Amino acid sequence: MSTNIVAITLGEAPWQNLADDIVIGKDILELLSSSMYVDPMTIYREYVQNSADSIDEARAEGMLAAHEPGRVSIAIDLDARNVRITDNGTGIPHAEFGKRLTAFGASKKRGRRTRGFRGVGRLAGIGYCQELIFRSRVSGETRVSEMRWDCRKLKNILRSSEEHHELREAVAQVVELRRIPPVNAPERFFEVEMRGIIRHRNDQLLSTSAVSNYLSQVAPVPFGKEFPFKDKILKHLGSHVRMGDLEIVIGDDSTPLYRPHGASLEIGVGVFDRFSDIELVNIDGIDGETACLGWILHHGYTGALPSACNVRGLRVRCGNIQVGDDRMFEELFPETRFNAWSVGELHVIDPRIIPNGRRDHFEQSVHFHNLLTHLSPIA
Amino acid sequence: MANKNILLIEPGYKNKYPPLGLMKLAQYHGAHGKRDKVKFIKGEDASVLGTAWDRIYITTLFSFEFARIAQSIDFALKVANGHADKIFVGGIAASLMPEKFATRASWQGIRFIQGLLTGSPSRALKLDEYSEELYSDDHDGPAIEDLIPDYGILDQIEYKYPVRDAYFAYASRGCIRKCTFCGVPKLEGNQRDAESITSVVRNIEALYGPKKDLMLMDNNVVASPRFREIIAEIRDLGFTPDAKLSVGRVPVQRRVDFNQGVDARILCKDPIYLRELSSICLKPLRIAFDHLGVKGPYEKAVRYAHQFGLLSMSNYMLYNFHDTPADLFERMRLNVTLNEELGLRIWSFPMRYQPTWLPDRSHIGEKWTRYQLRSMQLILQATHGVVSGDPTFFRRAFGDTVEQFEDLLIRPHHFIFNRDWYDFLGGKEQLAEYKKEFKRLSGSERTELLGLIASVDPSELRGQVGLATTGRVRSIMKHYLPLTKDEEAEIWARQKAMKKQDDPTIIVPDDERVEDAGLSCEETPVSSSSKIARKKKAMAVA
Repeated sequence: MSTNIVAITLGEAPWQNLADDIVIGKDILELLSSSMYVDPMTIYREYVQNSADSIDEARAEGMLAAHEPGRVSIAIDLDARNVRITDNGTGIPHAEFGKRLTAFGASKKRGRRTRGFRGVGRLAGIGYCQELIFRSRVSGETRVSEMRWDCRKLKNILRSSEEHHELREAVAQVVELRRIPPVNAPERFFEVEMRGIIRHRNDQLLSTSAVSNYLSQVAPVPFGKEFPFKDKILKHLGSHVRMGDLEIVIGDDSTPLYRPHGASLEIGVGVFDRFSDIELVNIDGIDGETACLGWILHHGYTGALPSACNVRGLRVRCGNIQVGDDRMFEELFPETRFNAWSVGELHVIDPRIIPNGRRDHFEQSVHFHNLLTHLSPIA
Repeated sequence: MANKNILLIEPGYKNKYPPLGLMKLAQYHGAHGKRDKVKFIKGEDASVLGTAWDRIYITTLFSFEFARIAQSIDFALKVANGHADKIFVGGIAASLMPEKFATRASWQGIRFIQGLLTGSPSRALKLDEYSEELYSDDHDGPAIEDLIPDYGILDQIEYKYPVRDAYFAYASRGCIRKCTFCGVPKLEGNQRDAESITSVVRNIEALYGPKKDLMLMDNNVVASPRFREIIAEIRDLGFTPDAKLSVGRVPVQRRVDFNQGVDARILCKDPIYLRELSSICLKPLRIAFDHLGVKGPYEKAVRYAHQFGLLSMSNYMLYNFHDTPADLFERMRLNVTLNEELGLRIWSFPMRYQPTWLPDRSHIGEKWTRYQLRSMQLILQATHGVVSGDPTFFRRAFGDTVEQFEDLLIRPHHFIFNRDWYDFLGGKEQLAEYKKEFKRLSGSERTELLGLIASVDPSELRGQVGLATTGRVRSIMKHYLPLTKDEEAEIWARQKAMKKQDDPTIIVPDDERVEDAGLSCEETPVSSSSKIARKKKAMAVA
């Protein structure tokens, strides 16, 4: 038996715009929330990133004095299974509150050199809690704006095969808004509260130490005083990188988080090595401008560093927030395992090198590939 | 949603009673419940590593076994491949010192359950319905605490609990008292009645056949306003004096045991309590004699017991709390006196106090020293934890007077450990020389001596000699230096040839012993800054 392949031949006609409305189904919500943030810890990164942008803006607009730290407080209530992340950034005025926090992918941040710009990061918590609450107040407001996302209801809606096909309808069903008098609230703040955090493997979302470890590696927090190469690095990065330098405090601990780099690093139980030297890195973009600045710390190279030292691997940051994990560039090494011997960081300067939506890698582009090309010899 | 894999773990410590909490969980999940596949292990049994467990429950008992419990929890995490949300830890230690468990970072995500599994299973186990956890929708099922223990799981392990052929039940929960040494106020709260023991007994019998004994774990049954009804119920269940159970060819004597003891302060008020208790096959009668302050009520209670023919008693004696060694001696001595006078069989079981909130056994009461506690442990090792009521054996073990007992407690430990050698064999001369030197010591020198020997580990005693401020103390210190291995070996060989001088009247069945008298525990090094943990009244409940 043989099959005859018949070539399709078509005529010509002019193109026209769609006559029907574009359907945006409720499933988009799932794609933008739980599907985007597979590693639960990344929800901390998303909210801290929003705080960092808001704090930068507050500083730029003079709401935050130069000497005043940009503060992010994280309160973890293990018994109630709640987390609150509060910052002293610009806040959102009530007039914009409802609209901005229910908009999808319409961030006003795109093109403004902010860290986030897609307008979906605030949904990160949806997949990991039963209730997601946003609160804010700006100077001059007598009441606090509050928005509640009922994630339980949302889950049912997303599962249902009948109702609420439209994204708009689904959101309207699960989101509620109100204004409440402050009892004890700062004059200007933004807060995310996740209530009823779901149990996930070893409950890292509610572990103060795990959250500290994660954010000290990923978030835009300053180097500790004991890190000997701090000044050299800051000088090298100069004004190219918005360091953020957030003062992040978790729970009752009044000591803010610092990057995990110290004078030495623990390479085994009770065995220490020290950083002997620093190598500064400068990678040009395809037009000759600076695409990336970085540094590599040299040490005894006695073997692969343990993950617990929190500085292992050649890592990359954008807006001083880490993109991907410590294995981002391991393919560039002669043998992938050598990545685990190294300690280094790159800061992407070129705005055309763009983190992907999940912030676990970069969008594929000629600029990113140029970065990889120049990075290979260093690795 | 049957056929889930459920793993129950009891840490590998030695204990007397089966883990009732786990047995009730087995009932919840097992053939009469959710119809899951339930596996019970004791300690770390590597054979469970190859199975995907849907849920793992770990029970805990004594606080001071924390290290052993930790080993089991770490093992469970390995078995669960790091999925801490599958692991549930409950029981006494987890309830008494929850912060010890909750603050360990590597255990994040494990659910630590305090108290009893009352309320709906979903609530008691803190299950999250939103996350669709297994059985998280079980809002209406009966409380796991109220289920009949599944005796079947006990056949899955090799360990044999000293008490197993028994109905385990409670006629009352909680206690009217708030003794600071006891974990009950925190674990169970105020005194209240429990479900009818008749239905518990009947249900156990229907599912697992008749049991020989009735083990009632009430903390203070005589404080119950229903006391007489409870005893009547026990009689109606057939546990009357001389009741026998005929399962095989030979009928066996049944017994009722209020294994946590009864309260002398109530017993002494009215003879009716002991008259009632004498109407059931109670064996042994256990009256708590926690300090000399209750001597009057205690003695009166013992006399009432005698009056109603309750002649076998195994009485708990707390020490290392606020008592002195002299206080303990007086209590033990009183039992010998009562034994002699009334022709009873009273065994005393000294129980070393450990606070319920500390994870090891290192507590030293304010009127005891570490050295004296170790001496007491050595003496009790020789007597298998029991204090004889026979004057001859008592005198030999503990001395005839408070002074002799106190002297004994400061004696070099190898003298105590090798009593036969130093009392009757080659060590006689050295003992005589030691006693002569000891007699010459003044009161302050004795205090100094105790300070020197109690503050270091045995291996460091040599260094203490130079610290003595008088020649007499320096001289006697030489007796405290530990024996060499060769000397020990010779002594042990020679002693072995000698017939052991046990009290022939003492043959304590395992099921009558104190659950954990700490007789075999290693000494905690002096350097350890941590202290103790101990629940006086212990049963494995979740």
